[in-house]
Amino acid sequence: MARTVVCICEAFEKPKALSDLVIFSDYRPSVPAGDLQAYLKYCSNYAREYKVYLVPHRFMVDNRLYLCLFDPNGAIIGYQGALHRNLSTQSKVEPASSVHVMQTAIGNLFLCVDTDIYYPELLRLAKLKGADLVVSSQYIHSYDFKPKRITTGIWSAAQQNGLFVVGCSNAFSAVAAPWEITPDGTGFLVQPEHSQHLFCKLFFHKLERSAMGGSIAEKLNPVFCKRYSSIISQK
Amino acid sequence: MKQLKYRSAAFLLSNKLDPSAIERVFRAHPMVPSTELNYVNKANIKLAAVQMELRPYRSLSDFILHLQEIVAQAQEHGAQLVSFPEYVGLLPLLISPTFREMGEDFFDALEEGKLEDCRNILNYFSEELSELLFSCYYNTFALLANRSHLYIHAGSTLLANGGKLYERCFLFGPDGEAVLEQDKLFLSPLEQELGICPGEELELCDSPLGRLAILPGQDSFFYETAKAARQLGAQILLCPLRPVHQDNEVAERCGPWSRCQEQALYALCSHFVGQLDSFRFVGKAGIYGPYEATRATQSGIVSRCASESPSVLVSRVNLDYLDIPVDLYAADSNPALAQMLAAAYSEFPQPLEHLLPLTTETDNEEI
Repeated sequence: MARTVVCICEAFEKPKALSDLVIFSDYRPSVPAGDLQAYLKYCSNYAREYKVYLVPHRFMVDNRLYLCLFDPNGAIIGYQGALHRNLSTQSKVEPASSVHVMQTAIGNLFLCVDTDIYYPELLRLAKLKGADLVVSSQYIHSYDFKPKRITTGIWSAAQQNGLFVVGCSNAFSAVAAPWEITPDGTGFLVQPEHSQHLFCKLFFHKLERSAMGGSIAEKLNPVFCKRYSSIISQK
Repeated sequence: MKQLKYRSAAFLLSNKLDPSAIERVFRAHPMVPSTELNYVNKANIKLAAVQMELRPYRSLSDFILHLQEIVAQAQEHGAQLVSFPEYVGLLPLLISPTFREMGEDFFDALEEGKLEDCRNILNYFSEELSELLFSCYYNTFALLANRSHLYIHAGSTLLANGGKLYERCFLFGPDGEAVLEQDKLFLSPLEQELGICPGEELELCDSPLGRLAILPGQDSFFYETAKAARQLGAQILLCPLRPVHQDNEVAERCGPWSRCQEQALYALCSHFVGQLDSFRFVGKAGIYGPYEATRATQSGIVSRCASESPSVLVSRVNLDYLDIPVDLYAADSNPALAQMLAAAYSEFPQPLEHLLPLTTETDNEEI
């Protein structure tokens, strides 16, 4: 896998030519439960028809918020539940308890569900598990949207772990990457814009050129991390 | 031949850096003690980050007068704590033309990728110069703090201890006592190859100015250090940064600035600037804080030097602003994640890819 072409578009819209990975953008917090079965069936057909990997919109099952990944044959090859909740919906949502990095033909993919992107410890764990591409799909209330949502979210995750982060939300779309490999040195391959459309090529070999690229375990201090692990992983 | 030259230069330097010589310079050039620490208001802490000119010194007195000049500038603006850049403790080497040349050789070898030559120079440093230089560093900054009656964060120095080389930082209190000592924790691959050893503990210090921690160099580029500091109650991070040849605000934002946003802390970043021989240094000093604490600009920048000229950046910070309202998007906790992360860290240094196998396309859990 040398490169992956990512496309964000509205649900079931035809993707741009050459897209490998399609992410559906949606203004809703999640797919309504009553529509879920039909929605996933359409997603499967879509992935098969356009021969793409697909990350559809977030959905709830048994009070857990999920993202999933379809392969180009229309099969679901992995799920990821949200490990953290927006505190305003805390009472209605259960947190997940596992972290999966999916090894696919388009990269080692971690699906970052909703507010999970604001937890550096989770992104670090994903990187330790081999992730080189993160898809972050989140819902941000319009009155809560501020620059912090981007800089402490997708931008920081990309810089601190040396990986690509595709951000897809109702408020913006963007692709963050280590600043050393972005042409304008800003840490964005695609600048955040209030848009539901995005198209970007990701060249994985370039990640090696960033300070945090490659194996992160070699860059951490094992004695320190072990000694302070209990307080580092606490909130 | 070179060894002989170094040996005689070391002998000459040891006479020049004698503790009594340091004391004599301070006696001959008395400092006006600051009164800023007589009354401390947590809502109005005055911090100074130094953008220090890197220049050759003709004598010990020249070096100390430069430090005094910087501290006096900080005093003029009411600073209560002054933070110097990374490796400031190596500057007395510049008094000796021979060791200045050795420094140039080191950087040349580094640029040419001759790491063996670099290691040889560092070995010589560890065996012959480290103790001498450390004594000068410690005495000078302790006296600087004592005579100015300020908190002085003395950047960092290289120190050989028990056959190992560490990068160590000190914070001196207004009485001249070292109140905080911190070894660099996260080393770059190059530093590791050069044989520098990482520290293992994070130290914090309670002061009238708040709870302080020091994260030198790239320590502040890893969330782990800042999070541990914050969990232990730190409010202000002192981040002496290494000399850089390019001013890159984005690169710097990956470090202390990001930690301020993640962990709700203030951070002071000090840098070297100027031309020394064929090397030009351009880092900019800055004082950063959480978005919420930089109310006027909402930029996370309390202040940052605008130019590349030497200066002392003094700004007020309000520790009450660190009690920011809970962010509903980032305030949840998940014990399962804490356990997984603790397990991953505690299994170091074995290759984590082996311990935490990737999920394949077939073994993902069913919902």
